[in-house]
Amino acid sequence: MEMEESNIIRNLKKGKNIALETIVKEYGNKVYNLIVKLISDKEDAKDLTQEVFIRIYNNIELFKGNSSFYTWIYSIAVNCSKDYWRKKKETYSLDAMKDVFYSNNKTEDIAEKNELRAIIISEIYKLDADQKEAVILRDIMGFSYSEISEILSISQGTVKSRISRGRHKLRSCLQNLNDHRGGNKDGS
Amino acid sequence: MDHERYIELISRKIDNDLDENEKKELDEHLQSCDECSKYYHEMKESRELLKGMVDYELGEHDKKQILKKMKDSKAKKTNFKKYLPYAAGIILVLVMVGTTLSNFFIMGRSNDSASDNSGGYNDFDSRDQWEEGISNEGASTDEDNKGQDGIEKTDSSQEFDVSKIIYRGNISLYSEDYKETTDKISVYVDSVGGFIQESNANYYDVSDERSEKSGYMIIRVPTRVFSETMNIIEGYGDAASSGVTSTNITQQYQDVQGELDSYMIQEERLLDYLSKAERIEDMLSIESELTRVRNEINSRLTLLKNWDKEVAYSTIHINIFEKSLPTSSVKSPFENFGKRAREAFVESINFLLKFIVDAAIIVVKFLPFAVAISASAAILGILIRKIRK
Repeated sequence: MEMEESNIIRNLKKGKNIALETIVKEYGNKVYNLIVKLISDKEDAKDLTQEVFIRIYNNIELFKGNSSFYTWIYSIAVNCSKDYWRKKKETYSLDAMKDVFYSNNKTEDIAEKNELRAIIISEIYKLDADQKEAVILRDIMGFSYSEISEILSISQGTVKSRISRGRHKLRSCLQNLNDHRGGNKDGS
Repeated sequence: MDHERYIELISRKIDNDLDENEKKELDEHLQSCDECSKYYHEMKESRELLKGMVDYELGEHDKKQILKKMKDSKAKKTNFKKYLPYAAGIILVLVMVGTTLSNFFIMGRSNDSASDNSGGYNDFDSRDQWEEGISNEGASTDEDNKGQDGIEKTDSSQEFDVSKIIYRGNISLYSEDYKETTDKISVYVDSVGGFIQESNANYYDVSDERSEKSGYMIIRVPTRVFSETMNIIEGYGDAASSGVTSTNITQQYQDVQGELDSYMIQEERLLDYLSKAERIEDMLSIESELTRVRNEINSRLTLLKNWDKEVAYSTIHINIFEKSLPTSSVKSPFENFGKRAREAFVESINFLLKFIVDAAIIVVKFLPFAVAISASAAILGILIRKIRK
């Protein structure tokens, strides 16, 4: 796999078609999936995915092999999403969240679960950009601490503290929301 | 909830990132602290909730679109980058061609001026002739003589050669076989139309076992094959030394030629007087004067002839030594070992230093070109980018 990857990178630097096809095939869905989760907009995510691959191709010379190739690709995806966040100031609607983050878990309480999840995620989206991307990468995408540290180019210690602070803030928000709901039934 | 430290520990516990000590510490705390315990369970719940979400995939069409966009972007981007080396190459070639051409033009101009010069000489000569012609017309009495004189002048002006240069060479040769080498040299000299002016050989015994032969040859070869001959003779053995000297005798040659011409005229005059003289005393004094003039003429003619020969045939002095091959005597290879080693070391150091200095000079020498080239490449790049935009 390692050998194959370095081969792909070499061919990508030469601009060979086969290498382009290989990385789109290998990473296209992964990048797209990550971006959908980061920006919760399936259509815009397609455009961003395109942007990511264009950046990969044009900046392949800058990839020196200091990190894994896939974390390098994901870091480009995260950066593209950051640019997108900066441009798009409006908040996300709960329905869009539900649409994007529905579960494929076929259990009885699926509707309620989806609802709850959408609320949590909408709260995640309200976090600071740094905490938001760390929490999404960890809790939604399931990357390990070391992977996240490579993707965001920060130390593992910083990753841990960003995640724990993000989660903590998230919990406070959810508690407030619950209290609010509990106190006033026709809210939300 | 102000347990800043436990917040992180709990978060890491959820991610299974705690080591044994931290785990123990946190578990103890969770047992004692209800708040933290509640916090941990809620955290874990919401974390569980986020798991198992659907993954999204791109359609084939989207992937093709991505590929197309990637290729388009590279095509746009590479145009400039791809041609940068070519542009640099072209600029380099232009600079080099420019330098060569300018050198060529400077040389060309100096050549032109040289030919102008010789043209000037010719003009001068022909004007001389023309004046002669006028004087011929004026003094019709000795028309024939003058006419002859004129012709001689023309001859000398045609013979005029800027390069009255005498080449002399000397070579010291070590050869395996003295006899063979001298034979080779004589055969070669014959083949190029030269001759051996002098040769001498010495044979003497150095010790019981070996004798040494040495000798010298003075050969004369046509000037046009002079340098070729030098090279070939050097190839007949191990050349210990070789050198070339050249003397430009154009000035002296012209002076002597001029003197000769005036003596010739004097001779003609004297002959003329002699034919007209009636008294014996006059005849005798004219005769003695004529003898003196003829001697002058002869000595100058000889000098010129010698010079012509020297110019036409270059002299090469060859010293030949037969290399003695000491087969029977044992010679210690460690003779002067220390000294030789030291010399070799110093030589290497000197060579290294020289190499470094030379390299530095070369780098400095090409610095202006590098600056010029990179500057023009940068300008070119900016221009191309602007045009593209």
